[in-house]
Amino acid sequence: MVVGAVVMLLPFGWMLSTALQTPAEVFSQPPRWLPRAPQWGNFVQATTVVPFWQGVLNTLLITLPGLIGGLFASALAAYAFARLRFPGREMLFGTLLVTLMIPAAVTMVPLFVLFRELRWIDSFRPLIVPALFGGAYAIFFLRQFFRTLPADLDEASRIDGCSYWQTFWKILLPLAHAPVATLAVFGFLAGWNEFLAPLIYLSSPERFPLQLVLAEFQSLYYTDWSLMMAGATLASLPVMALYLVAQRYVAEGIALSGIKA
Amino acid sequence: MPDLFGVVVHVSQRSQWWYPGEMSSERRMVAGFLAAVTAVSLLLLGLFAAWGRAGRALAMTDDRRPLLFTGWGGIIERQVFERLIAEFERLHPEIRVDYRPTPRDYPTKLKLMFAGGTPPDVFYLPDTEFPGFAINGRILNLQPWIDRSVVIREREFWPSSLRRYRFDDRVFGRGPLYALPKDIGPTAMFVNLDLLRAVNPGLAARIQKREVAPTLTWPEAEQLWKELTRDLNGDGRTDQWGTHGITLEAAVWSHGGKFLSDDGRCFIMLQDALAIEAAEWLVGLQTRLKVAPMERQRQSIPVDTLFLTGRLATFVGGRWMVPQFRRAAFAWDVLPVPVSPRTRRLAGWSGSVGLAISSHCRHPGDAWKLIEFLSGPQGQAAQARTGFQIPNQRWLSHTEVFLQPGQRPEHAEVFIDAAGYQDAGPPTRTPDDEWWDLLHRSLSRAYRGEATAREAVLRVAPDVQAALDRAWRAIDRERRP
Amino acid sequence: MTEKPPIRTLGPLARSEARWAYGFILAPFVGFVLFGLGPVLASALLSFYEYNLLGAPRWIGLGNFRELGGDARFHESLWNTAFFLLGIPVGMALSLLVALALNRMPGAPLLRSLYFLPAVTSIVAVSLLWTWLYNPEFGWINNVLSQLGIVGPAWLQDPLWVKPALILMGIWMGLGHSLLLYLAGLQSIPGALLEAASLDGAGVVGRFRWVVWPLLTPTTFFIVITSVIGTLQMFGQIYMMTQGGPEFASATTMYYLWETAFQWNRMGYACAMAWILGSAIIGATGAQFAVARRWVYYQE
Repeated sequence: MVVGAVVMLLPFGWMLSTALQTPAEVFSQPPRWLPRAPQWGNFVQATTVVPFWQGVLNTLLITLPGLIGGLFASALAAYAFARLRFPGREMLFGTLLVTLMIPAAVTMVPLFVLFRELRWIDSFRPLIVPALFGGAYAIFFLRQFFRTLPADLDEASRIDGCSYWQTFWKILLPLAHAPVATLAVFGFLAGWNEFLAPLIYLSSPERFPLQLVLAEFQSLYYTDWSLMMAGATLASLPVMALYLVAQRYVAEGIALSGIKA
Repeated sequence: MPDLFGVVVHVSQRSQWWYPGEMSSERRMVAGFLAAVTAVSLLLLGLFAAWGRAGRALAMTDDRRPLLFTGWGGIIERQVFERLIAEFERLHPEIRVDYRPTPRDYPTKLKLMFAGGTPPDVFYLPDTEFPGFAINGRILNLQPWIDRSVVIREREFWPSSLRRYRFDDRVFGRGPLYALPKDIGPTAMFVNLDLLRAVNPGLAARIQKREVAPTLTWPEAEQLWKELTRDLNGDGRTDQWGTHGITLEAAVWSHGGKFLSDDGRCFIMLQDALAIEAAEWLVGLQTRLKVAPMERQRQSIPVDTLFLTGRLATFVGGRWMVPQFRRAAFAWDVLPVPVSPRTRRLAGWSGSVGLAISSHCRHPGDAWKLIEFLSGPQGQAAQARTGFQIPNQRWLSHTEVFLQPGQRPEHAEVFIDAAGYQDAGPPTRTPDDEWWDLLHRSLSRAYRGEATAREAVLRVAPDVQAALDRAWRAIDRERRP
Repeated sequence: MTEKPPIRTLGPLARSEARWAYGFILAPFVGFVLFGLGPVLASALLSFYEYNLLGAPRWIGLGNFRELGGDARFHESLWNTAFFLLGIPVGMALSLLVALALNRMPGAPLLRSLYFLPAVTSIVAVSLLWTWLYNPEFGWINNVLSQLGIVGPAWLQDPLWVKPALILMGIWMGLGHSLLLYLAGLQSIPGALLEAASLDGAGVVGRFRWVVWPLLTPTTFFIVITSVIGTLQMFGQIYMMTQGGPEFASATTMYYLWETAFQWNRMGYACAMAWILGSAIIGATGAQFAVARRWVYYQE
């Protein structure tokens, strides 16, 4: 199994090794594993020849608002589905889960047409606004969590004169920090790596998120593998670090609902 | 704790999706909720639309009139254009140019900008994309401005650079101009003189001494390429190649063959023995003579790197390679693309990018001023000085701005001559380039040695004709009164 | 036939609770209508039109679907997409093997996270990396092969090898994800059951066959469904690495759909294609749910 893990990591080793080589070393036969003199400058160059930091900033500007707003909306809905009684509850919840089955391929074209009619193309809005309404996965996940909490919690708070809103905001939501953190980590990973939507909706280079900036390397510096590998390494490190720090949450999240990272 | 699908299975089995029976208060409440969802959705849709419009209005806070200008290009080209635009804005203080070069996959991005309702005002229009944009009414007719201009004079342009941007509502290559060339990109054969001297010192000396660069015929060139193709380290694999980059157009046209009927509607290559013969010759450079690298080797290192590292002795490419090759550590020059021994006709493909104005442009007058500036002498001189481009105007090509004595290539006039005799690619005469794409996809089997060129063309000919028919049908339908 | 539920009238307290609840779940439903249901209906409608975003959409009835019937590239893209599904069983078998080995092994958490790293790396970075690994002359893979005396294929430039190459990369990317799911599944198997099986004389294989595998069926079911949905919509690596080539040999239907919509701007045709792809996805998912009752065992 250790061998297996090493095999899994070899491509990354190759990426790092190439990132530290000179162009001559990159095209040498047989390939070198260890660069003669590590070219740390490649990393600096990778962030200056393309608007790397602008890409990072754009990614954050796109991801964070949708993530925060979406988590809030999902938590609120999950609370209602888990703790409140209302007609049609199961039916509505089932409907929501069905939305998970809608393939993105089907909505891709009409959404483009919709955002075009709204004149939202080439802005962050098509990437942020739909996320603000919450997602079925998150609702499902938080509902499962809220259902495990004892019923006395709500009743006690209701007796203290709290409204449903206050019960949610003051009692239940603070207890849900672990599942919310899980969802936040997942949301962030997904947002950082998102590619197809920005590819379709954005055309101004100054609005490109990191992944589109990374894709630029391929066309601008297609011969310069060390530069490309340096860029790929830099773009991957933050998510890898986040994953390693937060892997307890990630493992739990996957185990419960199989959310894709 | 059950997982997601467990819950789905569970919920779907347990819940009654809808109760039969009278309108109960429960049903009324659910119906009320659904009505609220619909109402809020519609309300939000209205707000979103208003937001979209407001967003656009806010963007215009500057009192100068904005022009969105988009194109592509490497770092050098971008820097030149940033300087040129600063100069333009100094001359026209009432106009603000937002220059947005697109780095990747430009034709798709450009179509997306139009599709998304955010078209640029002025933009690079590759000649292969020109027909589609002209037919669909996406670009303005520039002829009225050109006729009035004192800066732009048609007769000073290379005729082939203009022909590809003409459209008379039915046929391409005739009628008013819908774009002006930003450049013209004829091709020539770059030769590594150091490698050449080692195998054929006589020819190397002839190239360097002669006033006029010699033109090789195919058999002469083949001989040379064979000598230049070598296995340097003795591992049984070729490490130094004779040539790469001769286009299908160059081979077929020089041999006297044709791809299309004169009206651009029929694919006649298969019936044209000369065209097929030329294609077989070109394919044979890889499969029979093995003097050209196969795709496999080319994908490993891009051909420009192969040439720069001395592993490719000759390379047919455009002027845009020049700044990069000036970094080479060896001596090199350019020759005309080798010609067919049958006709000895100089021929080849020249690319071009046009500058066009979107029909959505709100200040077409300003947009024209920008094109006039970039296509005119001042803009062209600045672009030519970088070495990557041949001026669109003939007289400028013969000045030092382009010829750049003292810098490689010594025989820079090879490019100028080629601008005169080379022609635009066949897809510039058809409504779209799908057929051309299909043809090349099929020919790649021949390049890999899996079929002869004739077999590859034969196999794809019906699809090519169908694609052409489809493309022309689309216009004919639009044009019918 | 289930019993009719009694018609009840809600009291004022229950009504107030319900109103709050509806308020709380309003946002996701509005989002669903605007960005899910609405587009799905619009897509269905558009598939009967010819629409290039310039003029008004033109009704052509079943024209798009008829054209799809004769569109060789569409058929090829379907075949390619189906071919990519072959990677799923291979990846699952591998991840199950690794999971069985890692389960209750010292150092498992660290190894687990190493296996998972490719899954958190973006498709763009992975594509750049693997394009380089697959480089026929200088890539690591062909160099390893040449040391074994094998001349490796041109991978991404070879119509025969491009699909297996992308499948291999997909397995590398997805292994950690299924592995984590299987590990979680294994951890939830009560030790008592395994002991009981041992006492009954079941060996390693018997325990796997009669205890572990049945209890892992929900996990397997889950992985199959999510992988099929994901694979049927494969796009990023195709766009980055091959643009569908060589000769369309790696073009998935999703890629062809993207090209049709955003390169050729044939929106109606793209919607028709999306519906066929979407029906395949929904049909595949539905079929799996239908047969799930036969083999998936849900613990209460």
